[in-house]
Amino acid sequence: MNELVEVLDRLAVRGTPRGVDSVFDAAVRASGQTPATGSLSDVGSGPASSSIELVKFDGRSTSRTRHRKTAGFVVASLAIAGVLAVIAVVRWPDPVHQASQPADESAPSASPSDTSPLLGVPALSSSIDSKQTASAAEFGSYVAGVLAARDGTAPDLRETATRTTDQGQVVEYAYFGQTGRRLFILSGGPDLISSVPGLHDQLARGPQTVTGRVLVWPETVWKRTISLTTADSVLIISSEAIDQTGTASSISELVDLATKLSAFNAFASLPLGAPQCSPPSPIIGNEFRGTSNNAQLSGLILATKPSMHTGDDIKLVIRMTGSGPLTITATAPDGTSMTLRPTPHTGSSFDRPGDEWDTGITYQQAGCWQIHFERSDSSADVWFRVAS
Amino acid sequence: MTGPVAVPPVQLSRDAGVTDQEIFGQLYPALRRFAAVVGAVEMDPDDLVQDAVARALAGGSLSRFDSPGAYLRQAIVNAASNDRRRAGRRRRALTRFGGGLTEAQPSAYPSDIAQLARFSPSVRALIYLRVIDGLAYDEIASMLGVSASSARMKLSRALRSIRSSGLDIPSAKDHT
Repeated sequence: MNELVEVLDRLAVRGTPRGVDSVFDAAVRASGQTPATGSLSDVGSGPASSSIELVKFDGRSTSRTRHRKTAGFVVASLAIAGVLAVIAVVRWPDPVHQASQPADESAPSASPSDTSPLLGVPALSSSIDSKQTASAAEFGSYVAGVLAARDGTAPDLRETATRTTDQGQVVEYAYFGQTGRRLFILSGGPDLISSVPGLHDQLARGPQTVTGRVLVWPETVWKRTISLTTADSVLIISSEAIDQTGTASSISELVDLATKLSAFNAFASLPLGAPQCSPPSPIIGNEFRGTSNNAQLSGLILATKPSMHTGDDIKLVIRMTGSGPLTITATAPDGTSMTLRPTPHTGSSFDRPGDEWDTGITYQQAGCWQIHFERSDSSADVWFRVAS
Repeated sequence: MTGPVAVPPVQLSRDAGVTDQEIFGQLYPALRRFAAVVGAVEMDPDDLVQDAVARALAGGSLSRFDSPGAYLRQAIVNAASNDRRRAGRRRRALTRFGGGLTEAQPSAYPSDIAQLARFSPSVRALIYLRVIDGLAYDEIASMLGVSASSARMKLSRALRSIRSSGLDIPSAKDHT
């Protein structure tokens, strides 16, 4: 089967079907034949302050609400049921361009450029850059400001707290609400999802879909939940929207914000590269990850274009764990190999594990390129797809 | 190399006894697959199908259409196009108000799905109807409200673009 047909087939079966009856009933109501009203508090447990009146309640939201009865709302339920609790100051990995700045635990004095006059909230990036720490409430405040600027109405911060789960996981959460929308943001330790029974299953319900830089769990139709994972922490963002504009998809914008502003590392959610570019090595922004059994390899692609094409001269900055000198071998799609010369770096702001080198490569052919990195006691590979 | 799989469009009986729900029940699996390809990846295919059916039902019974499947596919493409325009407006607003986000953020993960996602919903519909459903150009043209020659040209351009990105596609003779 050729690749295009395979990709189309893969796309065609994405998501979990709601079923004929559910979709048809909702469509009938949305067509105006059967008006419906209701409120979120009808359909499941949530924070005590989460009762949100629905002013626009079309067929789509009706079906979503119905769906919610069976699916449940992971984050809200955890928060309310008291499964989640106590303290967390989450330390995010340094943004690449800020890594050389000293950590300053005092509150940053935002410069005028750090605050959007329209948003009225400090840019989260300034807080993170100077304090190198972020919290669910802090991130949530920023997101609320962005949503308010876009939509004209500001979600209120209804609740923020730190709790400890029954499993001893320290979790901070923030809950925002407004008519037709609510937003939950949780931050916790890296093993939060695996340690809280049932959380992963609920988050992972349905097939996973790659959207942009991170995995988005399709979950229920009317809400969107994503998680961003670093070596030190996990952030879960759950957005519900109940209106005719399908605003639940705003989660993709939140993901953009999260990755852009706080250097969350979404690599944990992406598959590593494999031979024949099935799949190619993951690239987020201009950073990539290598595949290895005995080393960690991170790298930067320094190029003027976001994608790679034949003839491009690319500079790579590599960080790789292990000991000994580094040898790099690039293998073209036709199997010919060439040795790349690494230049060691003595200092850098690219704060990833291992020693650092740079090297350069010119892609002479379109197709899947393999680059093999080898040290005395470790090795790693990346696979890049190069277009013509 | 796999050519298009000829799947005849579902022809539904217009018997008076067939209810709208029965008509929709026959069409649903194919419509959902179609919506999943045509719609944005972050959009739920069922939402698109639901919007299309709601639109159709607002004007009366599904049985009034000669080919409800064709009508609903066209409605799905329209809904997906509207969603794409709306998303574009949001992105631009976010760029203006979003504290430094730039509009031209590259698609960072060079996946094969991303290659398809950059096409408009109507072009994705064209690709799907031709490559997967194996429909003739005049059928596709009437379904999407374009001329057969326009459909042929758009598909040819799209396949050329896909091929240049390194994705293996069915041979040209299958699609021209």
